[in-house]
Amino acid sequence: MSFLLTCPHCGVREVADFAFGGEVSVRPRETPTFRELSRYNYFRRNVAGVQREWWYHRSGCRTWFQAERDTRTNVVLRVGLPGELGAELGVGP
Amino acid sequence: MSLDFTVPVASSEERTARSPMERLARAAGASFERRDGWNVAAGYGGDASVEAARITDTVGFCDRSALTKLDIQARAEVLADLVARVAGGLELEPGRASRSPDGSTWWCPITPTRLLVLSEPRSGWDVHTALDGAASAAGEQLVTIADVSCGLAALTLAGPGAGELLSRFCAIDVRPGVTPVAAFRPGSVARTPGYVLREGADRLLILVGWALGAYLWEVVADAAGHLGGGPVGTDALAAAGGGLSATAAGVAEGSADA
Repeated sequence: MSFLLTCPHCGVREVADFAFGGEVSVRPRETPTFRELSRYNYFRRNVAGVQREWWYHRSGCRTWFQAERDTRTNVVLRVGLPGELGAELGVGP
Repeated sequence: MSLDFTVPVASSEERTARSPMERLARAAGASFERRDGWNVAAGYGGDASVEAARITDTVGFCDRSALTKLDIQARAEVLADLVARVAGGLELEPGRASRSPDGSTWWCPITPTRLLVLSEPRSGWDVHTALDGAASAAGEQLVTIADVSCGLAALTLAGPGAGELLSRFCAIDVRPGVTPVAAFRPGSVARTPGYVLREGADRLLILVGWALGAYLWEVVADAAGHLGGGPVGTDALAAAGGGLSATAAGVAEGSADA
């Protein structure tokens, strides 16, 4: 499986340039309950559709950024640095 | 604990810095000279025309690990101001390196907050000192200047086949329309993190981690062999013009073949 991803700094690169950081999730509050902590650590939404994810350009500028990718087609719709994409997908920046 | 030993200083007479590609260059027939504190592969064999022909007709590759490399990190506006003051008003542009007016230094923005400075060894220490001074004068505490000369190995591909050679082991698109002269591209090089700088129409500078320098040499040598290319010394590269003048313009400090 391969697809292209656009780094906000470096531009288009093959996906092997990047490390996947998982879907973006909301950090729990400062003193979470065990249930909240467990949910944050172990549970993912894992949607079949567009989800917002963390990516790291490990072979290039070494920057963490976010991308909105359709998990069914691997089409990347948007990328941006943390805070740039807003909160339309119901997750934090 | 002082980390000075990691920074080859040109004035150091008792120490000679060595490239991670030296062993392979020597096996390929390189003759070495000590220049600006570095053991540099000046040429390969006695016939300089062979190396010159590689650069003009096919492709040659040259170990440039002796370049001074500085990694600077600061807030974007601080970094831009620092460069403008030290480099005579140069402006940083994403994806594009800027060359200092005297042609001795490349200023390569990796991100808006991180910059790689490439300089010939002779002027590298002056650039470092100027940057330190400018950072201090600005009163900015959040500027990090790290000498990564011995953190990044460097190799120049020179000749009409340079782009073809690079494409054998790197997916970065270096067609002139996409990657014009002075374009700077961080990305995977031979499946290892690296940088590509187009120094000229037929000249590409590659940088990868120091520990992978010998690996990079083997990859490039293998690919170049299929294109009729081979290694060239810094003298031949300097004679061809373009790029930084490297150490070839320096005065040899004695043979270091032994």
